[in-house]
Amino acid sequence: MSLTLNLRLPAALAAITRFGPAGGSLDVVPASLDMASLAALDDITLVSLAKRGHDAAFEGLLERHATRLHAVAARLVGHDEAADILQEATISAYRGLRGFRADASFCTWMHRIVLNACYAHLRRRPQAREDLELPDDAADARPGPLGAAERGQLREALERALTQLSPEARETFVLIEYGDLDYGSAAVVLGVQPGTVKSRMSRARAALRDILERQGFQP
Amino acid sequence: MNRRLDPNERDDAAWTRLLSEAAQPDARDELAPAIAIRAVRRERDARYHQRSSLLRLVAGLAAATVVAVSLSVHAPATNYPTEGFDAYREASQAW
Repeated sequence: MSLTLNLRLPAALAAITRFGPAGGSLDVVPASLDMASLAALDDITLVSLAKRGHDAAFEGLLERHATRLHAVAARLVGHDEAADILQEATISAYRGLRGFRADASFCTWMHRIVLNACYAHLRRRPQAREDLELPDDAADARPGPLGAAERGQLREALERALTQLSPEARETFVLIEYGDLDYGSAAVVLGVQPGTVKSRMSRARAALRDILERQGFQP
Repeated sequence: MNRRLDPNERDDAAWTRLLSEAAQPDARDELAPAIAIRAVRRERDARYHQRSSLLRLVAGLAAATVVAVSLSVHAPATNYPTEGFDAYREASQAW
């Protein structure tokens, strides 16, 4: 009996430490799942760990992606409500993690959840698109060559200019620039063709340029 | 074979770069991981408390069932007092 156990133990350990989809980079899980060791693991590994009940792995994913997700939410619904949106989306993802299939990346999946939360929020508060919370004094920005202060002014002017875009152009620009998604991932999140994303992005850039040029900004 | 960009294209490229540089998360976004992690921990705690409450309820019901069954098995057969009734019957017959 003990011989059988001894023989089976390495296989059992291997089964514990090797898991996840074939061909992934899921080889060996660190013995202790602290943030430093989690940072070295890729998203696929962390998702697999999180699905198996390693809460620290899910927190590692949030550590990695939450800043961009918040940035997207803040530019779609405003900074005041972005934290609520993020919390709502995070809990929704935590509850639905077992149903997440790896045919999309975790980042794309989370962006979709955040976008849905933003839509739901905007439906509850239809006037939300018009009132991003920006300091009033930013309206007078007329910068010359871009220094640090001018960059700050440009950022604020850009956020204000975003509110003047069509919803489609705005969400596309926000996902790609603030969310750091490529065109393909943005297309998945938005449920459109990559070509559509490209043309919306081109229109968004042209409109933003037009608005910012009128305010005196130049590259 | 690098094609020389015309002024319009150069302008477009410069604006694209400028917009990309400006459209970045700022200090307000940097707090997001802490917010998200705190939300998940709260959710996990709530789930844990809900589960432990349910377990306590199930354990309580199980204990109560065991006690009830045990009492019914070990309780002596009930003998209802009949003395009073017998005395009444005898008295009424005598009358």
